[in-house]
Amino acid sequence: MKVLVCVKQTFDTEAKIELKGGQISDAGINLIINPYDEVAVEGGIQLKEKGIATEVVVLSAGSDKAMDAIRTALAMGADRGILVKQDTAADEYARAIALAAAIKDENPDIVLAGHVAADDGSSQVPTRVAEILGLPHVNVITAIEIAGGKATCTCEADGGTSVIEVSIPAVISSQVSWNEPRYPSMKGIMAAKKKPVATKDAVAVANKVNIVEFALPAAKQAGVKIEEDADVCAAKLADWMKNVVKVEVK
Amino acid sequence: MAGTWVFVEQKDGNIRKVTFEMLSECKKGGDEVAAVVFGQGVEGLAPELAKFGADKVYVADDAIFANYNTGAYVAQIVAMIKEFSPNAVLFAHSFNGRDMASRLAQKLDTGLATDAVAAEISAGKGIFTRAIYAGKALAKVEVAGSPVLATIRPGVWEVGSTAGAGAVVKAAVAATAADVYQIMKEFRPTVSARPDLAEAAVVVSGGRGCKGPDGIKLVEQLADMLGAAVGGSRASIDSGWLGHELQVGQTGKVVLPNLYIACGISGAIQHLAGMSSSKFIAAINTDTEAPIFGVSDFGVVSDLFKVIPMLMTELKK
Amino acid sequence: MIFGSHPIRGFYEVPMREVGANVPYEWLIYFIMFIPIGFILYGMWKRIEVWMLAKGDIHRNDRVWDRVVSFLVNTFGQARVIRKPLPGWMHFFLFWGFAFLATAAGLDAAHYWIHWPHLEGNLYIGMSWIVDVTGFLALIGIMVLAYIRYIQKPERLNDTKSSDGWIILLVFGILFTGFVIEGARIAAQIQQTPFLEQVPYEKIASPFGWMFASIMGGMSVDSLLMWHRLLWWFHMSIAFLFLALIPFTKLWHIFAGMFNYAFRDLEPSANRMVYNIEEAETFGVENIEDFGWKDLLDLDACIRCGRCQENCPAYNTGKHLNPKITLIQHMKEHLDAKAPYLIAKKGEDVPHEEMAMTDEAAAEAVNPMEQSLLYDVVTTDVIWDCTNCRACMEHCPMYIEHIPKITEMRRNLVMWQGDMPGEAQAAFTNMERNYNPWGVGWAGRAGWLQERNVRDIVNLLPEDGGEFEYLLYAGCAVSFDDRYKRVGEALVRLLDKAGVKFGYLGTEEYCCGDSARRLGNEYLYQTLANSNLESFNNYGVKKIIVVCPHGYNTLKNEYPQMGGKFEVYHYTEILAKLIAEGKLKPTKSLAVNMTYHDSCFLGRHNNIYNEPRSVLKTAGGNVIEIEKGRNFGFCCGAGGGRMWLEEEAVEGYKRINDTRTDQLLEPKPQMIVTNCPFCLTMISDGVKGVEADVEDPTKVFDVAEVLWQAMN
Repeated sequence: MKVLVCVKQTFDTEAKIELKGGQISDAGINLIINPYDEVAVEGGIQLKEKGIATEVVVLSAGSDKAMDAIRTALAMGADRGILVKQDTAADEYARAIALAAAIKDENPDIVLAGHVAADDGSSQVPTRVAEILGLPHVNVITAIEIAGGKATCTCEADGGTSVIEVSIPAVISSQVSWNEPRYPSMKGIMAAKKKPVATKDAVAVANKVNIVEFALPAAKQAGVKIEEDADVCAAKLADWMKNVVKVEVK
Repeated sequence: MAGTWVFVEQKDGNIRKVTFEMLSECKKGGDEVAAVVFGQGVEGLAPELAKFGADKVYVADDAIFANYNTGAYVAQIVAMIKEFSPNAVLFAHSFNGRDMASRLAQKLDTGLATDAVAAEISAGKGIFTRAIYAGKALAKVEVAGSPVLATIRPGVWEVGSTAGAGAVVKAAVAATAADVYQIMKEFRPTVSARPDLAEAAVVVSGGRGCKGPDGIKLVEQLADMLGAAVGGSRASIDSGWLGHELQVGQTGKVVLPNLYIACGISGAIQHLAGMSSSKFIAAINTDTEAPIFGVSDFGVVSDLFKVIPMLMTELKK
Repeated sequence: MIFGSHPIRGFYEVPMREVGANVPYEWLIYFIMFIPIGFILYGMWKRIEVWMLAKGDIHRNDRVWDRVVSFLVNTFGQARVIRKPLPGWMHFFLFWGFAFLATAAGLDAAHYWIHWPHLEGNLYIGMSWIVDVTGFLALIGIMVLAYIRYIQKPERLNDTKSSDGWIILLVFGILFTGFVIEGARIAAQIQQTPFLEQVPYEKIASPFGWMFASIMGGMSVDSLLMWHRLLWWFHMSIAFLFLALIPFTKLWHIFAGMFNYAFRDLEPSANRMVYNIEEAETFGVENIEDFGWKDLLDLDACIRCGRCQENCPAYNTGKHLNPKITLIQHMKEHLDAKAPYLIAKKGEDVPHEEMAMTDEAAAEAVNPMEQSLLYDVVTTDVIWDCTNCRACMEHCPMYIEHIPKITEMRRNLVMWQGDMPGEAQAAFTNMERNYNPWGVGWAGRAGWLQERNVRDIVNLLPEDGGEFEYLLYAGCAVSFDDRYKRVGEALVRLLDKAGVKFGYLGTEEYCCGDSARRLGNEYLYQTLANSNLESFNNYGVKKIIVVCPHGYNTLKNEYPQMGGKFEVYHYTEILAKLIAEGKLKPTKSLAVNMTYHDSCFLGRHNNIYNEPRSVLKTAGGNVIEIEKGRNFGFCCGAGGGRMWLEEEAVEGYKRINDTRTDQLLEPKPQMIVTNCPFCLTMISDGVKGVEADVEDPTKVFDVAEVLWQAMN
């Protein structure tokens, strides 16, 4: 059984975001595998370790720099990589088309990906890929069992947890609580250098979503600290929670 | 081509607040606002939807819609979009909303703005503001298409009071069993179990200041009221008040909620490393010098045993 | 001549002792002696063969004179052994007793073969006196040691084996029979001499032999001679047995120890460097033979005295790590079981009973070739338990190098097996991406200057670029730990007040890499070190003041391995110097009682004990010395990268930091003072737990804060 994992290279989650010439500056930013995708890579490798999968292919669409993300996944234990060269400004639609084209050539039994990317936070791509390929999909899984041509996934849902079964091939997106991704060993890193990575160009397609402008949110106001009677404190805190944080009270 | 549709988030006839938020916001514009509700025996929801601004309520009522499943829901809405040609369809940015919207967008070969916090919708075009990089930047994006598709973050819009006509339009059931590719084997509703710590939008944490299981009980009550996850600093884990899996910090879990409420936690660096990236932080502690106040947006120097019960009363108002 | 031997004569014209008198066929001994010598040589070769299995790269052929001095001072001066006074001095006696006895016996043998030297007259009296006195002290020594092991039973000797008893008995037997023989001879002489005044030189030459003679004075000459003859052969037999046993028992420590004294690590406390890591094909130690020869020699040198165990914070809080048993002795047993296979180049298909060197090894159920050093022999629990506090190495009388072995095994686990605690993974990722173990965004590294309102008194080199004498290497804690930012503030205010010209790198400063290195991630350590070295070079740094003792040790002792050439000072050294120069004068005396916690990396790793104390004294601090202070200081639990790992308290024990906090609170101080951000975190946490119900818990401060308090 072949598992293909889609990974996106994103900014480090602690990175300081700055604008330069109206664009998000990547100066001095460390690039990482999207943490949700990293979980998918680990999930794929674990399927192989359990003897369910025979090969784990890692696929990324992005600039040449995304090769680092692929190498990291290979160092974790994936078998080979595919880099689809694409402008990083591609939207979810263009990204999904590029990935789906590469996946079609590979014809995997399971396509894994993180359910959302830590940078754009849009959570569309895995589902779009499934639609393009005409495959079933399950999102936000925290566990998976594969047997008899079916994948049974435990996934987060509104108001609870559901267990959903789909036939494979299928596209499955991971939640971070699925597993703890491994830290690549030097052995893995050395082995990764020898693993093959194919490079291809993305299908040229126009974005459907266009960026009008980027902005930084208004600077966070300095914290307040109140030392008053408990009832006054409680009232002010409740007010802040309702009006500033906008919490939903059940 | 007319009208803005709001896809109704409901489970067993209970409509989520985000649906009303979307209806109310759309009602502010001049365009016709329609609620679209799928389910079994959901026709009765129309008056409630009208109350918050639905001029029309499209109802697809069938056993096939009893539980959410992507295939049937998408097939149904595709058929309805073809029939009624709405200008825009808005979904909640929930597990189901984004799942359905993404598949729909691809099926229609169109764009989609997910997790929008602001919207300006005109004919054939929508301008949405999206929070990116976990809220560290904002992107204003333009989505063209018919209809314009977006998912809206819950809680960003106010629930209004302008009612709509609420005329019920029964849609023909277009989804068939062949459209269903996900088989729901089991659903475990969140009743006692709280959301996962790493993913929760709100986390309420208790530390040494809770002094024992009684203090932790208050923390848990507050958490349940907010649909929040419960966490703790090492002191409360060590003392056995909370399970190991609930430790927040360097050697526990790193959390990134919208709101983190630290109760009786002084905020040593090892704890801060696990929660200081939260969007909003509130702290309740008796020690005015506690480092937690250095990172909190709203700090309360007081006894949590007094403040939490009063806070819950205030929040219920 | 009786049976071909000389009789014992009543007196001799010159003071002397006739070797072999009264012992028939005594000359045989000079031939028999080659048997034990043969055993020693054979056994020694077998051990050398084992050491030669080592594949690791260790060079200990530098600084020859220092090695000679170390050898002499430690062998003949027993310098490390006597640090523990009672057993130490008893061992000292035992060593010198046997040294002289062996010398005397050797001279006798030399006289037989080459007729030299002639031990007569004052030379005889002097030689005999020394041997007699030291031999008697040795006899007392072995009895006291037996008392300690079997009556006093200190916890450190918790693995007493039957062989320990047999060896004590053997040593006692040799010494005791020696005195009985001497006593019998002198008694026989006294009874036979017509000129009593001719014999008393023996009273000077052999004072304790004379004592034994007086006890035996009532026996007849015949029975004295008979016992003398019989015991002489018995004495020689067990003495030869002793010699023959040396390479095959714990007695081997005599030689292994001497080698260890000569080949010990003379460098300051640093982890072993991995050169050309980019080209390396293996990492750390996976199999026992991957260690260096000195590591295997260390295993032979261990005499199981338990001084490591006695001082180990992990062991004393119930963890799996016991430096004596679960580390060194388990490795030693495994080495001895596996070595025959490796020497014979035989695989695991050979039954281990066939290959075993000892009966114990043969009785073992497992084939050593199938055993994993990391998972079966030492075990990962043991490997991760270590806090690198160096107490074991500090107190080991043999200079065994425990920490480098732990590090080598961690290196293999992390870089090769990819097996490490989840928290270590997180710490590595944080250091990799944001150059600090907490994982706070690196761009905010200099933010503490604004937060603590000291931006205007700090020369932030990337922005200000002014001249400076010292570089202030603030470290991750000053940059990101809110509590420790206050220490950073106190320090820069003090430096500013004293007029020190210092620069600070801000975001061009990276984590020193100590935690990464000590957790086994050498690659990450070298990456971070290179980044720092590049920054240091860019700004032409010559002198560095380091705040955190971990950074201090790393920059001072480990960066030179990577080409770092600069002077490194801990800030307490600088403060002590500024006080001495009159540049910092407290405006008031705090007059508080305090306990001071010696951090391991300032204390044992770098021998800085006095400067922080003198700074505290200047500030008006009355430092109450606690039992576990200075080089006996008990770790806070955070060294060796354990700061980032969770410590589970073992049933019946407290955590390391809580244990240490109890020790520091014991004299009821008004405050606890330390010099390290990790210690400050651990001890503060300990105080919160211990004094949870106390209205006003004891405050924990850093040395810099205490001095700053006295300046305001």
